[in-house]
Amino acid sequence: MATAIIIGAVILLALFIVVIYNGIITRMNAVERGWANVITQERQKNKMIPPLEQLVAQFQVHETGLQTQIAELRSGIAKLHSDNIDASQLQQVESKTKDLMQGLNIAVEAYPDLKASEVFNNLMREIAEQQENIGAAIRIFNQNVEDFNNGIQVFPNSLVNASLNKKSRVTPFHDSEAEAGFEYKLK
Amino acid sequence: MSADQHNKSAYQHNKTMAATLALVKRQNQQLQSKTELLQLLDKLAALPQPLAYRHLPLWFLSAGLIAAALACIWLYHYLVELSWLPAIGWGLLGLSLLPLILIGWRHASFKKLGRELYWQNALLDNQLQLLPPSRWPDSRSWQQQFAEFDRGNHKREFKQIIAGHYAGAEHQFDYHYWHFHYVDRRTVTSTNSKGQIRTRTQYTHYDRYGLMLPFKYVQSLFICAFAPAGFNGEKYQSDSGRFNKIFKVRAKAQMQAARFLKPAVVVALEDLAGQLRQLNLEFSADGVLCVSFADADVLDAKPPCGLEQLSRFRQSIEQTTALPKLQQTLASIHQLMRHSDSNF
Repeated sequence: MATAIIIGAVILLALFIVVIYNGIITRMNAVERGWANVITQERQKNKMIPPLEQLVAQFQVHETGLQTQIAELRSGIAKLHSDNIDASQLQQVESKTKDLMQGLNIAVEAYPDLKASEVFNNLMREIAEQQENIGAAIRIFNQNVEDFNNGIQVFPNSLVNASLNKKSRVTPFHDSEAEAGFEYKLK
Repeated sequence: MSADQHNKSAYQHNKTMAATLALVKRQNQQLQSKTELLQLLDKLAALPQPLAYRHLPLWFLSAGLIAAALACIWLYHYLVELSWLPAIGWGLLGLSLLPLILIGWRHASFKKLGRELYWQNALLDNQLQLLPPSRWPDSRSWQQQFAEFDRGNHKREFKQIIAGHYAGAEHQFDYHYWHFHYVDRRTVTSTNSKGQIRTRTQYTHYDRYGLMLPFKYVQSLFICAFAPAGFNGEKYQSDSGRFNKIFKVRAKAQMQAARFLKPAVVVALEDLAGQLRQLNLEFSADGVLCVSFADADVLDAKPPCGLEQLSRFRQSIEQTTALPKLQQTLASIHQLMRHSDSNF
């Protein structure tokens, strides 16, 4: 009887460990999938760059440095990799997008014909929606990261992770430019 | 003023007030504009203020009847043992309840009229129109078209349909708000302490609420937090763990779900699910969206005061009454449209 209880307890413990182990793997996969989604959304901007260049050339917008900003954004997007979670590179691309958007807004003020162009307005709407999608993809990534970090740090998952999974905490994406405006800093 | 004159004037006042309230109640159901609603309030303002029934004679009548009842019982116990006295006493005590019931009924219907007027005002402010059953859209075809209504094995019926219009920055659309009621019947068998088996039929009543509107950008997709019986199709999971915990997604083809569930849409639906319980979105094959939820308070508007404070009540009517839950839901649907349409 005692042996049967011990064997039963061992089987239950093994099952418990397997569930925790698999849970950590599933959450890690969700983090990677969330990151790949962020990169996919960033790369969607590539679709908008050629028509944007065409417009800038058509309206002969030179002095605002838009051509340089577009080129920088394109090279920044090319450096993003879905298999490597590199938040700093993503931050650079986001920062370059903001610069480009500001440049476009300045250009619009200087070139009234550009403001009246339907293609330009549609393009701006598309870029704004794409930025919303990127923001949402980052939020989803951060949610998945939070779930993963909780999954490896709470007890007894921390024990299973330390001895079997050996996964490290993933750093969520922080927008340092946006954070600079706040007095409270997360340490 | 003598007691008799006071009673007569209270009777006249209550009669006039009941007639005016009945008129206001009747006309409230046919209101087309806010001006008409304010004209109705003018009719109430013509009555003596503060607006209230005069119940003093009824209170006195009730108290008198209770005193008489107590006197009968006291007489029976201490002076004369007439066998019919207690019966008279209990009878008078019973009669003393009638004025109290009348006071309670009048009070409740007066409060209810205030709530109805305020709700009508909220409908007018939000461009909503309560439809009589004769003007309802074909709700039978809704039941055939959407798995959402595949609930309840005993009874299925629409209780209320309200027509509305939403004008967003990029899209505008007409919609119908609906209230669907369904009943599940099941047979329960139980055994008592003597071992006898008893069978009885149990009826459980449920309510669902929702919006019906044209949505041409997506077809044959069901995003569901509260699955009905006919929930089927190809499975799809989004990139968000939270979204997948809240919703199950079924589509005719996975690609339709993948194309629609962009990150911004996923996040908008996660947020909307935080506002509405048991949220479902069903896109039909011919481009109609049925949004459904369990929250009964989407069109709730509570007046800040009752009709007894008529001038304050009128001020609240003159201001625009917001229905924040409805506006939030419509704004989220507009966001879904914005992310599903083509900008070129």
